[in-house]
Amino acid sequence: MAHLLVTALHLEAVDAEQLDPDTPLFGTAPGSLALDSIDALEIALAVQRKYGIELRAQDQVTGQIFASLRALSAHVQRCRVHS
Amino acid sequence: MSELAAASRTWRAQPERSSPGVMRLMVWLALWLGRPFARLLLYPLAAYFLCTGGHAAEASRRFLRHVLSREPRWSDRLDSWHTYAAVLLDRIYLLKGHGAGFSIGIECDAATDATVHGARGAVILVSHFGSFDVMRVMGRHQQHLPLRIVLDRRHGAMATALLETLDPELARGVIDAAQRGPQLVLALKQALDQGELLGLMGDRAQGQEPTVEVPFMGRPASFPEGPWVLASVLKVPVVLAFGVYEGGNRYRIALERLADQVVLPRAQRHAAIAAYAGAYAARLEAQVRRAPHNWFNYYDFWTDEAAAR
Repeated sequence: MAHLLVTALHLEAVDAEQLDPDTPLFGTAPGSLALDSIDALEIALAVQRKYGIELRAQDQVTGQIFASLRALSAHVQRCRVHS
Repeated sequence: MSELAAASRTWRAQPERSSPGVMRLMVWLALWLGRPFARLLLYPLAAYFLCTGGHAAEASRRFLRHVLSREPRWSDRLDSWHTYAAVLLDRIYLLKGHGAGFSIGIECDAATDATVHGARGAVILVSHFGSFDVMRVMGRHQQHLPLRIVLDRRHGAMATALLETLDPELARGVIDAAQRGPQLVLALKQALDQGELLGLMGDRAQGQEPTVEVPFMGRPASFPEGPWVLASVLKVPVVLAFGVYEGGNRYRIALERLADQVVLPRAQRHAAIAAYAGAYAARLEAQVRRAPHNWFNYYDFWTDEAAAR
């Protein structure tokens, strides 16, 4: 998942191996990757392409899914198990 | 940002021009009379629009004043509304599939032609300038361009209703832009994967879409960011499409490739979007100056204009 993120978003400054799974993806908190709405779309497309899972923009749930790498991976895992 | 939002709200604040009853009457009359006789009603209709148009008629007058650099005469204003009425009437015939009587010229260079027929698909940027129906019809019949229209169904409900009455097949193909972020992108991706082209509005923001302010005809105007974001995320080229009404039964379609790829580097996203929107505004301006009566944005299009009111 870390590799997917780094590749999809062209995060040249970030090493996928070194990425802390709890790093906040969005927002301005210290240490956050500070991604924006365009990145969110890129992630949604990349996840759909790789795992066939559609991330939907529903409300607060989306906020949780996109909170960190760990949350995103957990969500993708859940969807794969259910499908 | 708040004044930009206010500016982009201006056109949505306007009631749609006609009621469903009037629309159905017009469609029935147009089809019953046939185009040559129905066209006899264009000047009376234009005069009606001019006299009862209120805010829209005033906005049209201010636009003509700016583009002509002088006070528009009654005849200028009437010609402008006549063009609007003519395009509106022709929508009915074009959507109904009665496109045979039209003379449609196409301007399209080799690179653009290759892009619109390419396997990657493309974003086709249309404007409230002239007729986009003439392109939809061309899309389905002449050049076999599989065009899907992306629009917010909540706005322009009347336009959607007209489409559903006259051409249900085209109406079914409309992708609803009211969907949010990822859903919309995935819906668009699916259409592109089926080899279809995406028709987006380039000159008006839909819903709460963010806008960017760039110069248009020498004054600041706000344009939607959405098309550039979508083209960049979906990695498709952007082609501008103008369907200009030239009088009588003549239309001119101009297709211009604006970008083979839209790149929005993280560090300069806003500047990059502004550059693309600025390039589009310049091309739009060139077309508008050639045929100013085709301009159908009857509201305070410029930000300074909206702010002054």
